Formats: sequence, structure tokens, C-alpha cells
Amino acid sequence: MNQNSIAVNIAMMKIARPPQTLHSLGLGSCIGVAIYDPGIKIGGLLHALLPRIGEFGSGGHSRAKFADSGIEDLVELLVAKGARRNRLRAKIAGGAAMFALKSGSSIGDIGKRNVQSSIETLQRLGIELVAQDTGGNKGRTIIFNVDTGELTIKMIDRAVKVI
Amino acid sequence: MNGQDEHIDSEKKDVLREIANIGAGHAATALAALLDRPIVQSIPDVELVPLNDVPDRLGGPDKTVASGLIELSGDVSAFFMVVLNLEQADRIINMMLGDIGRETSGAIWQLSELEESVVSETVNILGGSYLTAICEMTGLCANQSTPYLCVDMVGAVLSVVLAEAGKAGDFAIVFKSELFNNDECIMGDIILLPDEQSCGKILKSLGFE
Repeated sequence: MNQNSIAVNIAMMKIARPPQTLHSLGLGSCIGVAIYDPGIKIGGLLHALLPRIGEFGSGGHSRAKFADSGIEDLVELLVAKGARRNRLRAKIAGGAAMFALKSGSSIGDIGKRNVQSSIETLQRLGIELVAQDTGGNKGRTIIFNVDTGELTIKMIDRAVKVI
Repeated sequence: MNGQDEHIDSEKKDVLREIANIGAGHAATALAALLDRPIVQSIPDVELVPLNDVPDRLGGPDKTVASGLIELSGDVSAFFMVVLNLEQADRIINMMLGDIGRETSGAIWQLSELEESVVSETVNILGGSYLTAICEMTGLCANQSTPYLCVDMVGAVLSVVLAEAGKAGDFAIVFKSELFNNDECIMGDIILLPDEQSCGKILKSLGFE
């Protein structure tokens, strides 16, 4: 990654303006949610681990760990930095099932639930989901160009994809 | 961890380290028999690591690795994961298959069916060793799943176990040990990640409240 790219690790969210870009390395069942305002060229990236904060009652959790609370906070942050809510667009990537777990534990389909929660949260907030690359059983590295809104996706044995 | 300090106190850490120690000891013995060569273990480490730092401890989130995952369930529920860098996986396959050797072809690192089962079996033996250690020490009982394999980026293969750890808090309890043959590290990162409840149970069964 070049120096102008900011790493967004698990349970983190970051915002950037051009020429900076944002990236998350090695997303598995985690979900990367990229939200941007093409009008003022600002964008943010969330790297969430779990679907919903409501499933875990007790405190002490970081809100960016969850897709729903993380998206809410990211939108608020972008708006606070001058983005217009009705101009915001989103792209999501990740939510793979890395291991074909057979057990009944809820963790097996965590990727799928991360995708669902992200889509529902964006809908609830009225933010248009313009593209997604989710599911499957491969890890993804994503690079978010906040200038163009392009989300570049790299996998270990696939061609690079841009959505 | 919820309402818990961001460290494990040293007495508890010693006990957990002893479990890791015995587990790695069993693993070294089993692997030595299987590979027919001396295997020694490093001094294991037990750490409470912030979730987003775990991938970096294993070489960085985008490094390609071969990983095996076993689920432990019963009195104790935990994930057991072995993370091998590709050279280590090649070496283990070569040691195990002897003359047949590893077919390395093409730019993409792939495993044949036979090689996959070699890696699975290794992971299986290691998982069994740790499970036996826990059961011997604590009297708690658990079953292990068959191993699941995945070759991909560190961050991606870890995501499932981190998601499980993330349910309880923002930290993961990571047991780490290494196995060596003639100073060559053949087994890099062995991670045992009990969920918060199970960790409590293990400690309780050993007399900690």
C-alpha cells in the first residue's frame, strides 16, 4: 500500500479525502463498508467483525466492531465533516465463509449475517447501496478510492476486481 | 473483556501457560513419532491481545498462510487454530510424504488431496494434544471436530475465531507455541482461543475463582 493509504483494521472506521485512500487487508467473514459523498469527495471505511450490537447487551464494546452501530457512526461522522446525507452512497465487500463449519454454532454463518445487517442498516438510514462483492469462501483485500468512489478488491488467486 | 482489566493476572497466566506447555509437549511427542525425527517445543506464551492486533502478530493481515481450524465443544468450547506459513506447510508435507514429496507447480500455492489430508492430520494431532492437556489438567471434557483447512490471507482465516472472541469483548486470549526440528521452526503459530466462559471454567476447575 502506498503512503497515502490509511489502514482500517478490525473494529475500526476511518474517513479520508483525496488524494488519500483507505484500505482493509484480509477481510474474511468481516465486512468492509465504504460510504462516500461524491459531491464533496469525502469517504469513510468501516471494518466490522460482527453483525449487530444489540445481540450483545453488556457494555464495553467498541461500536465500530458491529456493522449496524459502525455504519450509523460512520454516517454521522461523514455528515459532521460536511457530507450531505442524501448524497451518500455505499459499497460493501466481505462476508465470506472461510471454513465450512458444520456445527450448529452461530459463528458459521457470521459472514452472511454481517452482509445482511449492513444492507438492512443502509436501507434504514436511506443510503443507496450501489455495489457489493460479498459471500463466497475467499478472503478479500479492499482499497477505497474516495475520489472516484471505486472499491478495488484483491483475492489471492483471482484477478483484481473494481466495483 | 467486559469489566475486566486489560491484562491477565500473572498467577492465572502461569496456569494457562502450563496448559499450553503440556499441550505443546504432547504435540511435540506425537509429531516426532509421526515424522520420525526429534521435535522440540518453545516456551509457550499466553497473551491477552486486542482483536485488531492479532493478525499482525501472525505476520500481517494480508500474508498468505495455510491454516487448520478445529472446534472444541463440550464442557469447554474453544477454537484451536494452526497457522502455517507456506514454507512450513511444504516442509511438513515433505517430511510426511518422504519420497513422494511435494509437487510444487505454478505460481499459485495449492494442495493436492493427499497433501490436504497430510496437513489435516497434522492439525488433528496437534488439536488432540492440546485437548488432552486441558482435560488431564482440569477434568473437564470436550470433543474435537474434524479439522477444517483454508489457504488464504491471515486476516481472513482468523476472522471466524476473532468474531467468536469479539462477542465477549475487544480482546482475544491467545496461546502461542512453536515446534522446532533441528532449530528449524516447523510449526509456527498454534493458537488456542477459548471463549470467555470456557476460560473461566478452566481457571475455576483449577481452583481459581
